[in-house]
Amino acid sequence: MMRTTFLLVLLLAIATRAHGADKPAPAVAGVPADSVIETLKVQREEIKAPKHESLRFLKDHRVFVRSQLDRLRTQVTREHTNGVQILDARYLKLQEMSAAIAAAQDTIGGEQARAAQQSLLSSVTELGKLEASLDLMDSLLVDERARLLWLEKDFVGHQETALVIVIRGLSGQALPTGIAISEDNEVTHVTLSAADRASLAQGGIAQIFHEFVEPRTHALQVKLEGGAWDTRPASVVTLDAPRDRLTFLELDLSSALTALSSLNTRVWYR
Amino acid sequence: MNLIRALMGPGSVHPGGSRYARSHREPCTSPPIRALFFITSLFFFTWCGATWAGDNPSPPFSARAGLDAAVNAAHAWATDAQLVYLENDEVVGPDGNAGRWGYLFYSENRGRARGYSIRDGKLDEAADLDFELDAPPVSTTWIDSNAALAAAEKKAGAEYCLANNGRLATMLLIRGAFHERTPDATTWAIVYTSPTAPALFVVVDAAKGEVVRMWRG
Repeated sequence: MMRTTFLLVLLLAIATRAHGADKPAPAVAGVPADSVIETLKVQREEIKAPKHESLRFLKDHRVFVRSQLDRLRTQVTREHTNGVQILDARYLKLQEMSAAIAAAQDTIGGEQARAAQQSLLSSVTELGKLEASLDLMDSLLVDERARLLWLEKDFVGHQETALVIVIRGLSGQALPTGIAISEDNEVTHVTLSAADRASLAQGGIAQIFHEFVEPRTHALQVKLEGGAWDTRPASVVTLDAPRDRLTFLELDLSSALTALSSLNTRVWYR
Repeated sequence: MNLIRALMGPGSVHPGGSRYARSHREPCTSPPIRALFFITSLFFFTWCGATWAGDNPSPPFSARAGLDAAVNAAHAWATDAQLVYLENDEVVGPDGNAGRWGYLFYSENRGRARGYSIRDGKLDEAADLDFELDAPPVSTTWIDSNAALAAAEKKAGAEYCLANNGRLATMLLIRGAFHERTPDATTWAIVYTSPTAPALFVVVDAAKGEVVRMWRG
């Protein structure tokens, strides 16, 4: 009996509310129908809950630790010394390589001038000279390859965790004026330069972002801006940035205006 | 048997009596359903407990061993970031190693502090500190957690644990907060707790490796 009564009351309440919702909202006295009514909505900032608790003691005893730190007074002293600094050995190596490249260029220049003078081989002896010249070119190429390998090793060996974002696939369609990349309430606005726009219009690629990032999983919100792109919602791209590696993210925007759900992406590492 | 019956509730069949021994108004769930619910709940809570307790233990490492990874991440956040505090995020073993350490960095440019939790040489968690902490950077030379714990154990920690059934609760590295006489010094603070006695704080000078202060509270 009690349950039946409760159900009846509940149904009556729902019916009354639905009836009220059908009615148009009453006009506010003194406010014209076409005026702009500004409303303020307060929302709480979304805080991501940590996967694992960290720095627990500090958080539990923050008052004590802060009270101890408040009693400190810091003094910064800077001493300038004119002592000799150790020069990075790589700079010396680069200088040596630069000299070697200049010498190789001179050699090639000399060989080219001699080859220009010899329009026709007149004897077998000269054929031998030509072979020797080709061997010299080969050895110069080997040296050049060795220098390039050293430079690449040096570059990759000092790599820090960084992210590079490139975009492509915009030939034959309206170009966005800029791109907003956001993560954890931090937004980076990138404006496409004239060179970027020219490259994209011709079917090329453009680098829009190159920064150091934390070595972790990143969830980036990518929002294209300008013209028709403003109506497109932001896409979320998730990628892992391994430590001490250069992470490349390619955004293929060829179908971005038609397929609103996600962007075609490609990730590779160096 | 009595335990199982108690867990299954009053609707379970009594070996020597009727299942309707309780009030006749309450609907009676059949025993197989109750048993299934009980087993499922037991499995669920066991699984959750195992997961929360860290079912995949990572190899323990010393505080300094994880510093490189933390610095690398912090410098990606702010190039002027400096280490101001570190603390064990998981239980410290008797050798001074833990499965996870938390490193807090402060950036003058950003005016903020950000914590990095390192596990197995990798970044496990990164989060801004949700309160202000204007702490001075710790010195660049500090003894590792192994040596700091050994000094604390030798001085008073081992004796405290033995006498009070205590355990090592926290190891933290900070500058200026725990050593009043020499605030410029970076110190390790090793905190022991016990269910029967006040906690023991042992402060070790991180440059010399000597115990410089102790108190109970």
